[in-house]
Amino acid sequence: MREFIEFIAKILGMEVEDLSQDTEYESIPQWDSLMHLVLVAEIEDKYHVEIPIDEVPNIKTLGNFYGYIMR
Amino acid sequence: MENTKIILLSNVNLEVLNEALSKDNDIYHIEGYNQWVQYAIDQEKMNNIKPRLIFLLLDGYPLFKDISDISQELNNNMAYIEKLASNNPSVPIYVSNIDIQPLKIIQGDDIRPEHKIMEQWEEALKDCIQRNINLHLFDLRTIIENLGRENFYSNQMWYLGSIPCSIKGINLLSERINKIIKSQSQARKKVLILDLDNTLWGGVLGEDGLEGIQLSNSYIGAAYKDAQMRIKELQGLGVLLAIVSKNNEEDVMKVLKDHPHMVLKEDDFVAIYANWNPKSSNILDMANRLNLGLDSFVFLDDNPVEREAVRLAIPEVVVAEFPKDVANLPNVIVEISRDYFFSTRLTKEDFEKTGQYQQESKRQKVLENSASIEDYLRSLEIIVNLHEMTEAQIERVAQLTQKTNQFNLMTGRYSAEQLVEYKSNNNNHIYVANVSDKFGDSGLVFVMMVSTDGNVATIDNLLMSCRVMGRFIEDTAINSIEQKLMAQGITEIKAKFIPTAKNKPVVNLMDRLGYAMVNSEDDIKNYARILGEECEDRRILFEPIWT
Repeated sequence: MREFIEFIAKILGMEVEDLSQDTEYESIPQWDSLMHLVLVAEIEDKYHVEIPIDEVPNIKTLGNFYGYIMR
Repeated sequence: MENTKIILLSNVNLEVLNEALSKDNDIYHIEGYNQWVQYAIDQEKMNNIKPRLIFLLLDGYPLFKDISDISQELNNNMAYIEKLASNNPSVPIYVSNIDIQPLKIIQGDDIRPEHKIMEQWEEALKDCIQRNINLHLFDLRTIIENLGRENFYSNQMWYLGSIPCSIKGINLLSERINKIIKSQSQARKKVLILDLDNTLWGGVLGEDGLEGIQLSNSYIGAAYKDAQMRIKELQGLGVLLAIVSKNNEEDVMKVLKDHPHMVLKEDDFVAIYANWNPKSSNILDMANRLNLGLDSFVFLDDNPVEREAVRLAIPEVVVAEFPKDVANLPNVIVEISRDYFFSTRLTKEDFEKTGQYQQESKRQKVLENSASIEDYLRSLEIIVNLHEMTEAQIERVAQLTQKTNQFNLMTGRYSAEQLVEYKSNNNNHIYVANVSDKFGDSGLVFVMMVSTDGNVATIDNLLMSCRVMGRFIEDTAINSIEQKLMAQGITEIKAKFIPTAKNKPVVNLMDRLGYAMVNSEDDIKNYARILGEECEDRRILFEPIWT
């Protein structure tokens, strides 16, 4: 989880300490709808997972993203 | 205030690209997307932003998705692009060619219609670029082809955000755009210095001999041969080539002459240093002989020790990275050409450059046989052809203002677009001179930009190619332009010398030509001269021709 958060922090340009698995979509200015797509793409690329597009709108927290990696 | 903004126009959502570029650049954010046509035809919109650079990246698929009349649509788009160019005449605009994803389902034996549209677009865009000096090609298609469509496009990004390409694609685009932005403020290099062993061929000539070095049509030797072919292409674009190698000169000359797979021949190089001196001292000697600044050189060598030694001894010289795997050497040459020898449009002089440097050595020979310098110069039968800059010469003049360092009084750098803007004022003149002699044509080598106000003229820029320095051509040219101005009723002329690290050769030029220093401030010297006054030190050796 720690490594995943570090990866996300780098993409968002934030400190690891300011993020957790409960951080919510659009709760921080860095994570807007556009960044949401970037995160989908970067996570898919790094962890070799597929996130179907109809599920993308249901992803609300970093923990939700992490769920795809753990599957 | 100087214009800093860069605009990215598109028919798809490139917000991610905008953000990537914003890290290092002042990008103007356009609200919404697919706004490019509005910005192309609405002059006021652009005037408010005052961009310094415009990129127009178009995705072919949405552009032609539902179109039945292809040629009509093509014409419309070209008309918008042309409008964009003419609305912003002083702004460089990079327009993409287009790639169209072959998404439509068609009969297996039919030729895909997308291919034809892409070609037609390319043809039409080429014409468009030729007509508008501020338009340049952004080769989007090659970027996509090199990465592969499957990696460049992303269905997910498209359906969720109308963003056609993947993050990888975005990164490539931003890399390419950043390079173009950087190249705008950078001077083009002039000489590529090449090592020989394990750089132009595989192996060590001194040990393996002519027969033993790797250079062939197959296997590893082919990588070196391909690299040589790329280098030869660079030379065709006006880049000067030189050799600096630790080898016996005799052995090297034999390879250049006799090796069946050598693409590069002796005549392709302006200087060949094959000896055992430190490479840095060879490079310094070469800079001196070719009369070029040290920052005109790029150095390619496989040996990291040699690279580091040159880097330390002459920090002005760019030391290129050498690939770990020789298989990538031809690609590295392409990258070097993009990074250091970029040129949007070539002038006639570029194509003839190697020949001109070779003519220079013939002239040196005549000089050795002449009694006085004036005799020598007269014997060259120099013709100075003066005229106001024509449309066809804009690129060359822009290039000269950007590249000339030594004989340059004010070092005013102008892009083609800025020259057009300067000339659009009726009180401004851009005088140029073409120079030729019995050995050949040096082309357009002298530029004097003059603005007039009432009966006073001011020299705004004055420069001459170092190729023809030392022949008193400037005396003839300036004298003759002064006469021309007098005929127009000008009585006084002002000039300026702004010192740089390189323009020492002309530090006293205006004094010698009869200009009186009025004052100096921060080393900048202001001069004035009453036209027609006697000036003994001028050496008018040639009869100018006005055309």
